[in-house]
Amino acid sequence: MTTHSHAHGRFHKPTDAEIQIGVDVGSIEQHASPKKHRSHHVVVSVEGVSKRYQTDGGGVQALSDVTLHLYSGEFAMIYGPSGCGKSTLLHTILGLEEPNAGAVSIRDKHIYEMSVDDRSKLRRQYFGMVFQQSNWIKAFRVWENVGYPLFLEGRPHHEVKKHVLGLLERLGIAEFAYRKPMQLSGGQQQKVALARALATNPRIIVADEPTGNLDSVSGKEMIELLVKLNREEHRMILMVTHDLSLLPLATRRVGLKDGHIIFDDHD
Amino acid sequence: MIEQKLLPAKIIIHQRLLTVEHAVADELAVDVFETRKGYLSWRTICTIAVRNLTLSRSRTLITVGAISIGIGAIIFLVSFSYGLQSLVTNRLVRPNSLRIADMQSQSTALALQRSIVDDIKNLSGVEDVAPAIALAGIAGVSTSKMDTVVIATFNNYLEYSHVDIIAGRLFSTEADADYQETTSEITALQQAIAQKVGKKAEVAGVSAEAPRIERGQNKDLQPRIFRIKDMVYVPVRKEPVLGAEILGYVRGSVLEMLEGNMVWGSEFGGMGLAGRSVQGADGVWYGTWIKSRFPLYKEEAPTVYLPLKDESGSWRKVEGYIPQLDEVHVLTIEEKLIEEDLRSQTDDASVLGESTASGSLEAPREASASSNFVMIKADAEATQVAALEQIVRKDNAQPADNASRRTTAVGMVSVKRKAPKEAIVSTGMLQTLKKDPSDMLGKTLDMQFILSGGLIPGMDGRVLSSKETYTIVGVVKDANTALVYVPASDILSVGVDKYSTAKVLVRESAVLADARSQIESLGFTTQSIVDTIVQVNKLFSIMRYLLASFGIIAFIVAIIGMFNTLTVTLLERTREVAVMKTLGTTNHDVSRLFMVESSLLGLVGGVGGIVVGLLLGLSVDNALSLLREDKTVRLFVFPPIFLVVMIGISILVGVITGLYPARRSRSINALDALRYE
Repeated sequence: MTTHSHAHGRFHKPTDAEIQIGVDVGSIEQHASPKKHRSHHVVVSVEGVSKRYQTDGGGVQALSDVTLHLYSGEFAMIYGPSGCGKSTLLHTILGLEEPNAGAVSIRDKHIYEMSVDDRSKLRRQYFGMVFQQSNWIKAFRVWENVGYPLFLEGRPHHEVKKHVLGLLERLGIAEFAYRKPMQLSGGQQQKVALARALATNPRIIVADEPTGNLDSVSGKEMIELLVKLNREEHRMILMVTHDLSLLPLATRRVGLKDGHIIFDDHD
Repeated sequence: MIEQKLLPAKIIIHQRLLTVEHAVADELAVDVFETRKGYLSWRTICTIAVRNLTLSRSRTLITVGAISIGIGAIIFLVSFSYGLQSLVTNRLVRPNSLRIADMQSQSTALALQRSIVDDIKNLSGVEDVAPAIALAGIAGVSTSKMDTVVIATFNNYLEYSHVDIIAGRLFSTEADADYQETTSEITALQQAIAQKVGKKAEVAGVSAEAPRIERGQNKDLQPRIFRIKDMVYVPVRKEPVLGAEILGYVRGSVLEMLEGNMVWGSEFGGMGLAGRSVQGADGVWYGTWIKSRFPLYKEEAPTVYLPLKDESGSWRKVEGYIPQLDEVHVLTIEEKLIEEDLRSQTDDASVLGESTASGSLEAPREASASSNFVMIKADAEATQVAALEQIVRKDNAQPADNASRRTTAVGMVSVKRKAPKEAIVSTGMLQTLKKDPSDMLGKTLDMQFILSGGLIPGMDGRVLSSKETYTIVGVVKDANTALVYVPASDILSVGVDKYSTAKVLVRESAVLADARSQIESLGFTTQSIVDTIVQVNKLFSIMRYLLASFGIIAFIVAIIGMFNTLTVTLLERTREVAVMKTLGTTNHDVSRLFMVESSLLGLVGGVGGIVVGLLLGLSVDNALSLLREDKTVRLFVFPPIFLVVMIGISILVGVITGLYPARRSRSINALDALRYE
């Protein structure tokens, strides 16, 4: 069930030297609600997934026989050096990258047995996504971008607007509602991106290096929001980072190296 | 799994927290999970599409501008063609003209009898038939005389001809009334014959007093010309009696005219009246015989005839009598008159030849003989009025001995009807007379009608009517022809029983073709303005395609530009499309977005094109109207359906050029959005 990389034979715990001083984890922990106990509902199941990229200079094995089960309400951080396969693993879970071998299920649904469009719908249904770099529909203003996943549901315009404005209020970025996303700073954009991820009220928030392009203050705010979403709203957070200083905030830590899970523990 | 059985309390807590803290979001979520539609609304797609077009404003303007110019060029050129077409057809098409066909007979064997006109009136789909008789006439206004074309007709014919009455009115109801021949009236022909042959009493059916008649007595004072049917040999007798000695036989030939005196002789058989013409005071019936000098043949054997020569071996004419059998055609006085006149005009040699014994036999007569039996058409007739008039005048100039002949030519027939004599004249006639239309209204006009042989039944040759005084009641616009319209009934009352032409009005234009084929199956020919319009429309549709093709070239260039724009847009927006897909947008929705954007470009381009085309066309029209007197003439006509079709084509082009980017957008991978530069 829970996967420790016994097969690998190495038990790697990050050292202090490896922990970057960027985000004041302690202060976040201090103000946040306490961590919850782990639930027993498996939401995301990765079974023996392998992924190999074909490049000009030969193949690159991004994932090798990875098996991982994520539980409802977890704050899971996948960490590891660049090129270890953490983003690939995330994309595979999101249904964006079909593995060469193995299976991915969301709530017991094998997503790679579905059509592309069905996977799109499933992704909308379960996941809210925040990426290192925000991408926007340029034609839309902030509130419309945030509400876009709801538009995809065919929600009435006024209902979406009402809901989105409430959401932006909660995240403290209501003032940006009518501006174009590209006019905002990186930190503001990431908050808007988080708001968009939350628009459909998904059970799982996926964040790929959400603080990667941010200064320390903005990065801290972003992490605070994620922690809050996990502790207070019990959303499952699946975050990819190479910032080891954030690990104490997680309830589940998965270390990845060269496509293998080398470390996996939980509170 | 084991875990699922555990700790239900904890699950409840989770649910409670969710419910309390984010009631709105949760409610939404439940809804989302159960009733997701999965497709963007048209509103959202259109919002994105419109905003995208306004985001890259200059590029959109250039693309739309190119399409507008292309469409505008087509609209400008094609509407010019429509304008020309409507100019032409408006001149051609008058009220009801699509429901009217003209009909004529092209053959002498088939005449447009009054009864046939009635039959055609009863054809299915036919509403009205307006017949007319075309003939020549001599119009006398004060002291001057002129040749005119006379059209004897009814008001409805004038109406269907779309004559333009510029002064006065049509015929009065009384003048326009159809002629009903009363039984007490005798036909013009019969009267004419009666006058000539002096059998008034018999023809009139009332035997007043039996004439005193002797055998051999001349019937007419003047000699008559006659002709014997081709290849018939008629016995020539010494006396006008059936039993008298046969001197020989005379051979019939269409080429030979013979001259002789009509005399009374014994009664004989035959179909005509000639064999039993008149009953003398002694109660004996007399037949009509002809006394002449004949070139004789003898019957060598049955059906074998040879010239009968005298002792000296010369073939001479011998005086004798033949009965006026059915095979013998005696020319009427008028026929003879014309014959003589033409002979004197055209062939002096033949006149000279007559003085010799055999000369008249060889005298070439083909031309004159045939001219007597040709159906002369109305338009040709006008030119021949002069010739006839010349005869009359020449006769006038000759004194006493020809007086009787003159009276036979003039006043042969007369208009019997007593209704008001009303005439409508053309401006062409007034121009010749140098009169204003208003001056002529109410003035009188002396009309003499020339009724060619075909018009009055049984009356070959030419007939001139007596002079009738007509009052001019209207003037029609027709500068080219000297025309006089008179009521048809006047001419019918002269004895004419057939029309030259008729206009057939059908109930609706759809049945015109059917009605025409019915009339044509009766043997008549028909014409309609529809034929011309069909030709004109054909011509203009070719012209339209030609002009449109110039515009299409501009349009094709614009289409290529638009395709380029859309392709570039797709490349630029690869990342955005990927984002949309990452967020769960289906391929279908992305394709829809691209299709809407390109269709929108097409639509805006089409509308712009209409604006461009209208502006160009109207400004050219306005500029030209400054130079023209008639401000109502429009060179550019924009049929709404054409504009709608052009917008449709423009949108269609948008859809088609959008197909490729829309298809390409499907292959964009959602991961493209997540990969960093």
